[in-house]
Amino acid sequence: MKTLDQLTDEQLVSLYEQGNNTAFEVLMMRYKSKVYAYIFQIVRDRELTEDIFQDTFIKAIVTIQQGRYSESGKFLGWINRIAHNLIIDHFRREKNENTVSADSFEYDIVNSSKLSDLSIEDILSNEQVLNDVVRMVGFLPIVQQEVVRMRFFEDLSFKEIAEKTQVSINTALGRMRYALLNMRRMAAEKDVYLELR
Amino acid sequence: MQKITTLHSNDLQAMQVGPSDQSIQRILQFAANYRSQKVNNNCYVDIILS
Repeated sequence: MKTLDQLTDEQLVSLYEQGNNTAFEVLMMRYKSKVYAYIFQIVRDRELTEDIFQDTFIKAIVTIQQGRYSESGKFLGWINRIAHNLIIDHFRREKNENTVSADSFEYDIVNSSKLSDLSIEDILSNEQVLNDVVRMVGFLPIVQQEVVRMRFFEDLSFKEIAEKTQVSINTALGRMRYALLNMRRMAAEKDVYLELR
Repeated sequence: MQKITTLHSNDLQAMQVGPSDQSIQRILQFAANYRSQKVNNNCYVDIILS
């Protein structure tokens, strides 16, 4: 009999939906570091990362319990998308709040922890870079899109990608290499600025 | 344009450390207590177990 650790993400989601709380614990432990790192690399603030991390998993719990989880085999990509949307929501909200309060001198712009590290403009700019990259992926040949999505968005190893797409590891690596070359060429041709701040 | 990503040592530390125990406990507690009941197509009732 398999232990919970050996079950797939989908099996764990299904068990949790049926009331097995340990299944959710295993699922969270499997991805907590990756989700946390994903959030932190964008917001660069530990306190904010903790908040968004909690909100991300709470949203995931609600969605699973409402029976609305339908991302077969793509749990990490799905939960990272939830985190991504929460990050955008947060900075949109904060930008609006700052615009109003700066005039009334209630907002201490110098002591803002977010601004002292990375400004809202920097974060939105990084967000734009990531969006441009995602859009460029959409222009790649399908087999290259597939390998980029699996590697970067679903965090699969090249071995796993090779198995899923039924090609050799060398072919998967080759597709990734061509995908990156194509994206660099696209960025150069369209003058897309890809520097993260 | 060359892509430059600057990582500081504290960034790497934060990535390696991961979420706090407090965050994990809060999420697990919510996961254990939250259930939902579908009422109709788009309407759900939240149930918090005690």
